[in-house]
Amino acid sequence: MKRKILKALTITLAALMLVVFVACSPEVIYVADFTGGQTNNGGTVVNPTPNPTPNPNPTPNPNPTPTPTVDDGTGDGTTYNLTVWCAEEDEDMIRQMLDDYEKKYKDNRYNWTVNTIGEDVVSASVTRDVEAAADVFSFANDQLGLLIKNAALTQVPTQYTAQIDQQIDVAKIAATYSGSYYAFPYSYENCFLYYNKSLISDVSSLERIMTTQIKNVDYNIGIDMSDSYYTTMFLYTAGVTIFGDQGNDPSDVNLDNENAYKACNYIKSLAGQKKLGSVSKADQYASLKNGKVAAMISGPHMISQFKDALGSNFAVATLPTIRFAGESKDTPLVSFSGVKMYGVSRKSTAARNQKTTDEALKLAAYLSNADNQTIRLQEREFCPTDSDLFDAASTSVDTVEVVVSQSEYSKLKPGLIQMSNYWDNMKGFLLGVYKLSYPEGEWSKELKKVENKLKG
Amino acid sequence: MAEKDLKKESSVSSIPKKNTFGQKLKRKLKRFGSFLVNLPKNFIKLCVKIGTGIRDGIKNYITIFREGDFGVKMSFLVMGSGAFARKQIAKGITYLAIELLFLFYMIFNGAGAIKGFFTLGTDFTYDIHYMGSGATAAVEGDNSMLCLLFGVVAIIVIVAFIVLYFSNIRSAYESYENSVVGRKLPTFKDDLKDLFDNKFYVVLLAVALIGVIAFTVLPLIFMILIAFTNFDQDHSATSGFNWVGLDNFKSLVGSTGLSTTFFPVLGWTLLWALCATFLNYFLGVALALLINKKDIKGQKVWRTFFVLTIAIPQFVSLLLMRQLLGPFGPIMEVFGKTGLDLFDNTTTARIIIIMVNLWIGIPYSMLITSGILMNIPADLYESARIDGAGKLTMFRKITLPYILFVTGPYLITQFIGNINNFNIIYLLTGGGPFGEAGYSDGAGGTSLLVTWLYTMTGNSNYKLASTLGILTFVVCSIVSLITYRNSSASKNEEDFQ
Amino acid sequence: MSQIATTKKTSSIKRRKLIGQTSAYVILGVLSFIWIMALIWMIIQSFAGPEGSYQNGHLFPTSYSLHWYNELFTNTSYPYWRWFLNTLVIALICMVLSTFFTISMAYVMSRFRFKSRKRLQSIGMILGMFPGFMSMAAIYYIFKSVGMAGNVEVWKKLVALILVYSGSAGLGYYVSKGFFDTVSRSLDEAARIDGATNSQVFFKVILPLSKPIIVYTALMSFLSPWGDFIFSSYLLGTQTEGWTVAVGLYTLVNDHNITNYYNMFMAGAVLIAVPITILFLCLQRYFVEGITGGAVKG
Repeated sequence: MKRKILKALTITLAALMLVVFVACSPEVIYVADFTGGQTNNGGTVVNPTPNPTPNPNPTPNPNPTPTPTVDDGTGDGTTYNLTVWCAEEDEDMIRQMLDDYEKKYKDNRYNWTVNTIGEDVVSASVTRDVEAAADVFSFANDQLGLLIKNAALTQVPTQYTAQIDQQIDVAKIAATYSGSYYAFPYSYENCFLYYNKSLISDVSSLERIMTTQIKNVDYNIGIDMSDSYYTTMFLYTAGVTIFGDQGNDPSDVNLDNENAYKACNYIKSLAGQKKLGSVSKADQYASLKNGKVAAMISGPHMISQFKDALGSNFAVATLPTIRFAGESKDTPLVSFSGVKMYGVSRKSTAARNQKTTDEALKLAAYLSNADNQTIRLQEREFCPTDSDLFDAASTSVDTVEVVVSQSEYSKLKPGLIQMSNYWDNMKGFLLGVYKLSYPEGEWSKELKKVENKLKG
Repeated sequence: MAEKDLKKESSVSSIPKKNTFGQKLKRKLKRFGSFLVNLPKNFIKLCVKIGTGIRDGIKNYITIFREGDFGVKMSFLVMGSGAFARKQIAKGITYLAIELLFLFYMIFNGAGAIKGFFTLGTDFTYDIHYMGSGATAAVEGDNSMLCLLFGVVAIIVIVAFIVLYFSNIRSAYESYENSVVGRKLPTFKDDLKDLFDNKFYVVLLAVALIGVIAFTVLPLIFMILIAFTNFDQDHSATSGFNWVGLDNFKSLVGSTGLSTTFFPVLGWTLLWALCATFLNYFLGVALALLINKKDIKGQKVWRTFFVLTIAIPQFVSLLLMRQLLGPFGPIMEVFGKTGLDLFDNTTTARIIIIMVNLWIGIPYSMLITSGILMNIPADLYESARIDGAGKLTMFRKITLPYILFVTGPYLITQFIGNINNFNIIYLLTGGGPFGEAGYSDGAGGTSLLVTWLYTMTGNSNYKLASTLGILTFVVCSIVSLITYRNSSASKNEEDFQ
Repeated sequence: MSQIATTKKTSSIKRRKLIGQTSAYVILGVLSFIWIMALIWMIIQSFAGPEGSYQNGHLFPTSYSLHWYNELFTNTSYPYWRWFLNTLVIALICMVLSTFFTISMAYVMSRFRFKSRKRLQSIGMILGMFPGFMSMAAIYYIFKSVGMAGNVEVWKKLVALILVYSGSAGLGYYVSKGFFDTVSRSLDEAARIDGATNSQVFFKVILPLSKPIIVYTALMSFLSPWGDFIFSSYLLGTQTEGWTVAVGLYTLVNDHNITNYYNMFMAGAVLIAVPITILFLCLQRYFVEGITGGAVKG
């Protein structure tokens, strides 16, 4: 009897199983977390490729959030936990700015996390894990495309565009991607020449610098030849363009041409110059301080350090001119210029609500507003991008003056997605040309390799 | 007694030198050749074995189905019915629960995960721009890496279920047979007790293995799979990567692409492993012999000096060395050659690295050799002295062979370990002088395979990093195979035990 | 006549011995100096004055102070004392977990003969041939999907790190296995005759005898988190309070920071080198026993 009941039970169970098997076929139901796609609920899809065509018939979101306005009150009592990333030398300045921000919105409570992170690794850290990125972080404009492709930046809403419109043109261009602003620019930078005025005074031409007799120096002038940011100067000066003349045409990739060979020949000739040396970043400060190197080509991030190293002998000038082989006139060096901007990261919507995003946007706008640009100018001599401040500073502060003068011979770093491939791929080749590892016959092959990487 | 010792001594000293270097080399080459030649034959044999295994397995289960009673037959459909039929309630419930959980998982997660595994995500994060409000919200899309992860998890779950399913059938059949024969069936409690006695090893193993599987095997499987995708900075997890098959391997080893970098790096890796291992070893032995001479006082003190470098964390000493030897560092100051960058020239950089490695590595081999030297049985020397052997002969015929044979395996593991010795190269040169002809994508004059791998990981070029990892593994396994075959042969010849 | 000859011979032998001995001492002295000079230099640099001594044109600092040791405890951007505590906690927990995993694995491999033993050994060897940090990205994502990496609290990330370190401990069992191979089986059998189960044999008989190898394994697993900057920098992200000493020190000497933090690095290095060295020297005996006993018999 027991046996029979057991048998019956097992058969019913089996039948139930079969029913379940048949009824719930796997394709119909699944609660998708990270698998399967979301259905497009009709909004405009901003496709992160360079020249997107916007959806001609966007259907409005059935639940639109109310149009936010710039909040200038003192807050509404919310507590915010926000993370800010900055460079190590800026940390005190940033903390001060955050304190002022907190005082301004005194009814809110803020828990700040400030982390120091090197400027060259910011975008890599952000794209590696967007959800772990800071709410507000500073980056250089050539990383814009990469960040947008990885959906790491929040678009700047309309209430802040007025502030950005007040910046100089080059900053506005740098912050724009397919027609909208994606970051808050706050500083314009260029590379220029630092020199020890007690050791050398005529810095107008590179040839003259290299042939001046200076006692007890290892090198008259130092450049970090392993950084393509600096070695590309020679390419630009020779007339090579990257992504077109304005740096916004991803199909214009032509590096294997006569101009490039002219530049490479010049770099090759530098190898024989005993008074020009490749000085790595870690050694630049000390070598200036000890008088081992008389001049250095570098960027504005080193102003405070070099001022400390050279003391009263500190002097700056625009980049010298160079004379290509076989030419009768000097050509001024053309450098990269860049714009530093604050971006607001976009974390997963599940982890963060619209209110925090709005607050982060407000903070980014604050950190890049005219008052704080003035503070940066005073403390770190960063060239401001606000048009009024820019005009004023370009005549009053010598380091800013030099940046502005150099802008006549500089090109803005392209902000396309493909640009992030440029740095690493080019640096090996140009350094190799300098170190004479590539004979002339191989230049074409190597340049074509870089072209292929840039074409993606 | 003395006679026996004498006999042993003379036999030791009269082993004919039948292994000249040339003969050894010839033997090794022959073995390697036969290994290669037999490779396809062995592969076919393996396939045949797998095939017959499957066929026999199927036959086996068909027999079980036919011979088993109702309970066994039901367990093919409802797991645990075999146990229920024998009144093993606990076991039956466990199996049943496993089946139900599996079905739940497959319906709600598993099937989608498998699909995601093959497509690696279809819709990725995009903006929704609300007209007029100025704010945008992101809609979270697929994340290729998570698709891969969940896909692999699903595959593992399916495999685990299949294993449990068959074990369910087998145990049902076993208990059926037992009941037919009349043997007492083990209760749950009995099984538990067994775990602590006969099967104690299962408990110990399980604890250790769970960690290994979760944090070594599983990530490794993912990364091996990544080598067949195009996951890099341009194709990140949030913007989607795809399967590309063997493209990465072709670009590393093929005639275009990175092979101009790969083979020089490989060559230097092997050269480095050879130099580092053997130089460290022989110089360490020499140092140990020097310290261990009978009439040196304060042996422990001398040894302590050298051992200090082991105690300090390696990366501290290496960073220190980098500062000391830099172009504007104190050593250059002392020699008056500031500005000279030793690390800028491949050859000098390599020499410096090998020398610094000596500084770091000799203490280890010295310690080991000291330990061995102290353990050599003294009566060997005694009988040799009675035999009239001089000091040099004793060294050549007792000490040296003893050391060599006992530390042989250590030497091999050191060699293989040095192929992957990351710290010293990365911390001293970061991969070596860059801008050398042919080297690209982050490799330099002193890059090892692993250093290059790390640089690529830093550049988020995971696909090439994984491919490199697999190729490193291939290199290591070839080296191990060769050396282990050698050492097992030589093990037969020594008779010192 | 023969007496004079023998005395002449013995005196020349004595002289040769003396030359041999002195040259041995000289060589040893020079080598020892070379070996520890870098460490001495590091200690001197850590006592430099507040202006730092990075590439100051001299071999030694121009002024001395305790400034940099003070910095280790007071610097807010790089809180060294937090790193030290984090690493200490991680090292202690890893020591316990890793030792248990390694010893159990080694004991099983040494004592039990079961069906898949050889296969397990070969798999273990194969796993060891993949570069360890190849799986970094995958581990990061695994932890991220369970919420222990990325934008989470510091303690969760530290636990993740502990799991990573001790998780792979089971693979490094060769040395311990070699040791267990030398422990005679007759002890096991005697205990079993007395009626002990296998687990009792393990815990009550074998373990107490294995002090050297346990100390060696514990020492090794305690020391390894102090020196790993690869995994920790990947998993710990950018929050400086959550870093370990290795990540922190490595950051202090990167291109940006080295000018200002050179001597802080030296001070930090001395602070971890000293206790570890003392620990190591006290336990040197076990280290040597472990290596010679286990490694060479493989």
